[in-house]
Amino acid sequence: MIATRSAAERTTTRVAHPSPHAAASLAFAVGLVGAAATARAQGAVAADDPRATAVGAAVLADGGTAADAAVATALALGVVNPASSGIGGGGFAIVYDAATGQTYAFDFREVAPAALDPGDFVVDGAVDPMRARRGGLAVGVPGEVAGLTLLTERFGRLSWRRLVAPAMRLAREGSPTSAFMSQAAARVVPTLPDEPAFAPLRALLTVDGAPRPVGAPLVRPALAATLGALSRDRRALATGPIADDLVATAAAAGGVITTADLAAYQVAERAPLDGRWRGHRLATMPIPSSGGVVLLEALAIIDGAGVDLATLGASSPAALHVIVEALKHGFADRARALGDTDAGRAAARAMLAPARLAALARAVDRDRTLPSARYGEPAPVVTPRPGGTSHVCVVDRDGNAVALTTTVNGYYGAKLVTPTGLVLNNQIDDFAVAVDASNMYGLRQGAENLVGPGKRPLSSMTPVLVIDGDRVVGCVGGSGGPRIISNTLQVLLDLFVFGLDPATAVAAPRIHHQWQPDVLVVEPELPAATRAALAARGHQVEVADDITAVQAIRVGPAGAVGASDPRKNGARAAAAR
Amino acid sequence: MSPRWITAAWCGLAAALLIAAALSSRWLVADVAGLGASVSARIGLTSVKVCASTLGDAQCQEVAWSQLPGQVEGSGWMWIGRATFALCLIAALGLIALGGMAVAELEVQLPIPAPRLVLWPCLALLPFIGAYYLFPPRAFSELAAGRGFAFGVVGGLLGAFAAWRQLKDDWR
Repeated sequence: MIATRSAAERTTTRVAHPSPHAAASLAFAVGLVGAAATARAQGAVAADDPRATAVGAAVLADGGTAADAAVATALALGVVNPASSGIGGGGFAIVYDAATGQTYAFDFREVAPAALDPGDFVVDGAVDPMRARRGGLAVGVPGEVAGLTLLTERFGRLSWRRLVAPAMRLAREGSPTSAFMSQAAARVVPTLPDEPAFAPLRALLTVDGAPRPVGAPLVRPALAATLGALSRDRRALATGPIADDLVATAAAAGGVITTADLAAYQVAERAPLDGRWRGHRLATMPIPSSGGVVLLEALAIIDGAGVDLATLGASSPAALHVIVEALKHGFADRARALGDTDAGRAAARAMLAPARLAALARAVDRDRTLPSARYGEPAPVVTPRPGGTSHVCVVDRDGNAVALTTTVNGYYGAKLVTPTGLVLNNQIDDFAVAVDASNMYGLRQGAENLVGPGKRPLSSMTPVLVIDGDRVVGCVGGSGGPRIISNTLQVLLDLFVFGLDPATAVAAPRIHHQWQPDVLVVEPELPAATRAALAARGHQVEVADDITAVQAIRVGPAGAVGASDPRKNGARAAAAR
Repeated sequence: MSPRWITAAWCGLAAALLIAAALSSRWLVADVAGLGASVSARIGLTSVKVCASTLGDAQCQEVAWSQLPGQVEGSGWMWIGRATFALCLIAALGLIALGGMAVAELEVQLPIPAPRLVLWPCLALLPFIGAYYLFPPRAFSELAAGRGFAFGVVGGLLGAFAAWRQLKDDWR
């Protein structure tokens, strides 16, 4: 059933014994010219930006572990790509420890401040969703530093200072503005209110009053100093002047986050969500990520729908239709039942009950889409019990692997930048500010995901490791809100069902459906005939080119082959021996 | 050949083209092949026909606009398609009648001369055809114009010419 030996291993460009600097230079150059070079060696790194990828490759070449490389890469991403992630945000990580064969899941997602009151989002009797998207109330307690620190403590080999140093250097010495950052700036600048709270972000995103052009030097001295402090003291963001500065910035914009929130933040280690799929074990993120649950549900429905996907052809209308139908069931369940509560967790378990998945799979009509109300039915039976994103894939020479997704949520998060250079997240928008209210991604959300103090908002981040026996054979994850789930699913299918090599898999045009709104979003590159064929099956097709970037590594007998999505910065994977 | 036979020939040819246009499923066309499957989409005036071929096994599906509630129904484009379909048939029937009258040398007294009654739908057809090409829903955008357009445009122009020719002869 599964393409065991993909074309990836046959189309590899090998990088032989690069020095750390050579590896960095090579990967950077490759990314800048956008060449389709994919590297193979005993380890691989795939990330959104070539400079960050190069940082990770250099760490691997220095003898660092997958966790070391993932941490250094994530920190560098936060410098060169602040639209998507940074130390003002949070994330999830799935870690595979080859020595023990154990898999771990770490949740360092932002938490709603203790003083946050759902009533804060009501203005004159009506819910104001913009308060959850922009300004102080949108900011959740950041967890990225705590999460990355824990990863290095548990699974690292190199010093923390060594891992922070490349990001610090990028911030201090500067780097050219990427095409993605320039696009994101052009999109965000016109929407920024003309208020003092948003002036620092405006200053970061503009050059001579215009959105930052591609190639303009991006120097972030304040962030460099913050990273310097962080390299000396891992708790520098939890207590002390940087923490005070963060709290003051949020408060000046109406926020309620406190230094006590920052000091109290704890990374949650969770049991990974495990699934069996076509002979592989999939390790992904449990609640508060909805991504893992929806992914496993969709894969099971696709497999149970009675179609041999591989024979239909990748990107064929018939295959895409089945994928869309499976996604609609998953997203319907997500909207109705999931959240960071006991009931939400129970719903997640119930959603994956084999008998229910089989019933949903039988309901898939291969020729027609169904009325919206039919998705997610039968509803999961819950037994009450008491009580803008970046993705990094790393596999090292020892077989350790990390799938790490970090985020500040929307582009540039809450649109607040602290004097110490942190771009603050707007993760509160991932909550429902009212039952059935839509967030900025148009996702309808139920009562289990209502905003509340101390809760972690439901996420779509879907870091996935694919494990065969005692070795990781794949790593996939992405950025782009709810599209992460659908896009990660498609790349997984491309790699393990259709047998595409990683570069082809991440570059292929993709589709997205999240049940509500009942619209099938397709990328412009999807052929016109395929779009028409999907419309003929009853889908309401819309063409959009919103950026969703997926990173992937496929490990075969010849080693690890990675690919970074050309949709963001055209970065390609780097490798190191 | 006598002028009435020439008029009848023009009318017959135009009517045949317009009927072919109305029934054609190739107003908008697109094909794609690759990654293990090939797909062809053929869009007519009232329906879409899609054929997918996987490993040599082709399956076709034809769906009327009324069966596509989300995508097409209620959109102006669907009504343009239906109006074009109706105008093609009305013009074709008028042209057949006009050709028959010419051959039979019949003269029917109507408040509006018969050739003019045929000329109008033939001319009215042309902007509808243009709108059908220019304003499809996004799911059907970027499809190429197919033979249905050619039949419709040529049939409309020929029909208008035949009707005008008959109108001119009647004035004499």
